[in-house]
Amino acid sequence: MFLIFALITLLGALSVAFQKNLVVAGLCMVITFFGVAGLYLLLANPVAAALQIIVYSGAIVVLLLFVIMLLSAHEEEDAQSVHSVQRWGSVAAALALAAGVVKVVLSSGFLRGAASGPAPANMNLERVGTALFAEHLVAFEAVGLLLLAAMIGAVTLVKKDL
Amino acid sequence: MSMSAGELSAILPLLIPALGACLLPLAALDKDQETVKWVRGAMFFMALFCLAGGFFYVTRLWATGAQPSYGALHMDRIGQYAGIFVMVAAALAVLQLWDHLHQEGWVKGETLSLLLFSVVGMILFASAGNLILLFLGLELLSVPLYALTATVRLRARAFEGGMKYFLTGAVAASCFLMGSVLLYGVTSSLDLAVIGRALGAPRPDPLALAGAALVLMGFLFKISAVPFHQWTPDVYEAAPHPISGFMSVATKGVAVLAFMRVLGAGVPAPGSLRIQSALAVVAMATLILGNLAALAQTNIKRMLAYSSISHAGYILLGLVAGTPAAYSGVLFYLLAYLAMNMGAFGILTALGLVGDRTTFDQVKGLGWKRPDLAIAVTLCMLSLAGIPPLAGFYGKYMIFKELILQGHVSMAVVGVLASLVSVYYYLRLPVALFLEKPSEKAEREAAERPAIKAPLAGAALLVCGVLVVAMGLFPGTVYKVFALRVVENAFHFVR
Repeated sequence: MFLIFALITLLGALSVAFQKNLVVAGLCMVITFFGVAGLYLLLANPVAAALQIIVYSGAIVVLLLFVIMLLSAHEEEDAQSVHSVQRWGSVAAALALAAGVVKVVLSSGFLRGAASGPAPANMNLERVGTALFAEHLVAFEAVGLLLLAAMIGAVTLVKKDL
Repeated sequence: MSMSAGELSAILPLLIPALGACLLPLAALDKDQETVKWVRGAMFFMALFCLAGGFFYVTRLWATGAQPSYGALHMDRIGQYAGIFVMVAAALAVLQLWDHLHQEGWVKGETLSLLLFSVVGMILFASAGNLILLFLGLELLSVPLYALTATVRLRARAFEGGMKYFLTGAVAASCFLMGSVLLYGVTSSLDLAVIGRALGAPRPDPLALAGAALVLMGFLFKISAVPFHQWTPDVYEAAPHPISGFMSVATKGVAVLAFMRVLGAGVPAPGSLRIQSALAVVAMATLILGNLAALAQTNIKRMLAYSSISHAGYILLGLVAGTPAAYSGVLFYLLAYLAMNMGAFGILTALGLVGDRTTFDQVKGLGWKRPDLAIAVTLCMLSLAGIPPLAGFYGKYMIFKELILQGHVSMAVVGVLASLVSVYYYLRLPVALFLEKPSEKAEREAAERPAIKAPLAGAALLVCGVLVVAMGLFPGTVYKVFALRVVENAFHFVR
């Protein structure tokens, strides 16, 4: 089961990166998010899975697709000149980074301990609620301010007759 | 749910500017041509009023010595210092914005609102005690700045700069977020103190170290230290002058303060050694590259951008030394830096150099027309270069002294050499202002343009000049009242 969901997630993410058509790339993102939601389900965490599907696959991707369609820039433009040195350099850097990440993950004692240790407590809606509105109330309000600031910023930049 | 008085007083320094930021866009709705002048005045007054209110509230907290907190929001001495620091910088920026935006012909209330949002984010960033608030503060301070960079959208370069800042900033923010996720995963705590202890353990987990490195990257990006500095000159050049000044001073200062809180939250000997050596390398690279690149600039704003990179190097040197005295030296340096850099960017507005007319050629001979402003900016420049009786000298002196006492003599030598090099490019502005003659073409053009009136920006510049001299004449008082108290009251290793 894990392999199936992990493959769905990975393939979705790869096709987002390599797809030239932006709308199709957006749809591939939905697949990725569904894969992640499946992983949450495997961890016996249905609340997180439901939130993942509602918030990410539902709201955020729809928003993204709307923006892409409104901008009507469906196809990625070709780069003016292809720097092969840059391309191979970036591939090499990515490979080195990947090797480093694999080494860190393998050498981490924490992950080995987590695999054999007790399962973490389940997330339920009540705990999400208390976490949001009691423990992290300041953070919740700060997110509100952040969204408002982002909105005002966007309006300032694009409104025709400001 | 009820709120205690302490909790309220912890959050009020954030609420006051936030209220102003939410109300200002409403005032900007008015489009009536006859009243627009009054509405503009009212908006700028409101922004200043909110900043002044916040400033007086925080200074009162400072005077009583109270250190309230609300959940993970710690309005302790570091938070209060950040509040005072940011609100003074923002007030100076608002004064300059009034003149600059009128010169550009783009007076919009939303600009002020975004500035206030950024102020809220900065204070939150510096007073955050857990990773979530830290990240939200970082975003709340950056997102308005991205928009502010591109705010005068009549200029094509403004959009380019804003986009560059946004893209690089988004990458840095996502690195920071990934790092916090790793730290939270390994330590299963969001609290900075707990994470600091986990990192300070004899053999910290490699995943936690990777997380710490990513978080460090986020901080260094905001401080604009060398491997993460490329955005700085382009963005400062594209942004309106007062906003460039505000970014260079407040963003850097607050990032340093938040970073000091993270460093001071824990990290005893073994873990901190790694971070210190990483910081030392970054600081050296920043000093050398920032100073050398500044030598080659013909544009005043780009020169100041590289100079702000090199000042990030001096500040990081103070963090490398890592003693309480070095920390308070850094805090003093930040105050000096506030006055001298706001002044340095302020001359551009005060002389009415709009848009891209910010090269050294443009200011030739202008010093004789406004000698008061030119003398003030000369003082700021000398202070940036670290000439003795001025504020900048004492900041550098405190940092270098601690470095030598800690045995990092070679780094102190590089620092001194770097500031010697910097004298050359800082003196180019006074030389251009006073000693060089403008070309005939420039004189003809200047005669055709209407006379420049920038009373508020000029006043802000004069205030900066006075502050630079005052902090140079009474460094001990400023040091005791501000810098030393933060270190005494807010950091664990001194207690």
